[in-house]
Amino acid sequence: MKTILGNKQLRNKFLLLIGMMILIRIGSTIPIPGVNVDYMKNILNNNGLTFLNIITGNSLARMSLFALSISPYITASIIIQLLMVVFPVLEEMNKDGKTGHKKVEKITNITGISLAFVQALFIAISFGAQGLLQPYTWWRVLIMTAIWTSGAAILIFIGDRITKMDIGNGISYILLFNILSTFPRDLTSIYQVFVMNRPIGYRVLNTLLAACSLIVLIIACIILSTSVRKIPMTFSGKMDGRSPRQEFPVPLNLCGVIPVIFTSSIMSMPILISGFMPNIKWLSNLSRYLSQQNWFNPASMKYTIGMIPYVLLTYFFTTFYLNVNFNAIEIANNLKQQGAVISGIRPGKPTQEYIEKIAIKMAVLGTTCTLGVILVTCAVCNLSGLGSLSIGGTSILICVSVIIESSKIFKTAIQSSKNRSYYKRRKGEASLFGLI
Amino acid sequence: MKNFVKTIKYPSKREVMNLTVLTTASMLTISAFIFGVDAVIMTIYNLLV
Repeated sequence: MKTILGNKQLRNKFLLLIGMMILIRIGSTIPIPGVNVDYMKNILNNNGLTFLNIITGNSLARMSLFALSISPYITASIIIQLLMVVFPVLEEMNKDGKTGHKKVEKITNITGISLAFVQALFIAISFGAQGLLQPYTWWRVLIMTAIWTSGAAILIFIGDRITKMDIGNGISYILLFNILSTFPRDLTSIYQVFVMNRPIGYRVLNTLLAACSLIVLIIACIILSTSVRKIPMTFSGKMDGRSPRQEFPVPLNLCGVIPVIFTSSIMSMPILISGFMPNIKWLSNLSRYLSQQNWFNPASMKYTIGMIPYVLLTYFFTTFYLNVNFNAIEIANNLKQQGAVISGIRPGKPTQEYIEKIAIKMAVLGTTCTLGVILVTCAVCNLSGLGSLSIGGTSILICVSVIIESSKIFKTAIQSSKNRSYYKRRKGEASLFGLI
Repeated sequence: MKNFVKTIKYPSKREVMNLTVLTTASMLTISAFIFGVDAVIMTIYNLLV
């Protein structure tokens, strides 16, 4: 921290990040007047839409300026990734270096804002039709839609600005801030369930147990995020005749938490729609199965079956995401150009197939571990009567990944700035002695 | 698959400990900061409205 504040460039970036965080919190906290907030809170609590509330930083429950948060952007990302299979032009664009990637980003942003408009209009009309929006006029609906759409657009813009600051992915930071904003409320829930009104011995024991469980969960997420398979490589040492050995790392959690976020977002859609339209019986029944709140719940054990589509969808998104974003051909070509050979594998197509095989195995194994962490946390929470908490597998995994990633980025930036100042000093000394 | 799992390089105990301290401290600090920011915003909002 001292080093970050001591470096002007890093300090500015850090302060700007804090400024953006405060801006996000202002938009997520201030409620819009005239909207019945209790109704939305009931929909979210009764239908187990905790994950949706977590990724919006509690702003959906408050119906604040940023009520939709970055959920339309996440949905837009899913749609664009799916469209890449249907329209190869999009896939080519995505794999066409920085320029192509920027174009895809732009398309995703525009789709995100359009989706935000549709979602905002749907929520405003649904609220108005049930008398929860006062006064219910077309003008009022339009204003609400405009406010919520602009909120989502502002958040996409903030995410983009943070990404351009070269300190990590902006959307990940927004997700981190949103998740961490719900932590104090969850700690209160844990306190109320396990500590409050209990004998002193139980209080101490339960507090220790809760703290240990949280640390075990964090450790599991750290191991999952930092484990790698290192493929040994040999470089053809043309310069000095020796052949230096290096390793090509393939992370265990190759797809990260993206498949889980995609699955949770898709599964929360029918639940949200059924919350607004409770008269559709089959949709209400379906949403009971899809709601994580009902899984492993002693009162509604039959709904645990709903985790099967969750698991299947997560595996589907893992293979899908890997197929779209992991380019084994490009990696094999790059290795060939650099004169690198994987030990025991011929360059070219055999290398490509080998890397592909390892990547698929790692991604499937990573997703299995991720699902294990998520489902175990869900079972523990529901069996102990805590219900859905933001301190769950998915959110902790997102927090751990973002914190580890950003600490690495800051460390690299500090090191490079140290190197720069060292060279400047050396240059100064050299010019002092008349060498330069 | 069993052999494949053995080929994965897991972080050392020291690395895990350092990262646990880093992530736990960061999470607690950021959430406490956000809690404070939210409280200040709500106080100002309630005073104004």
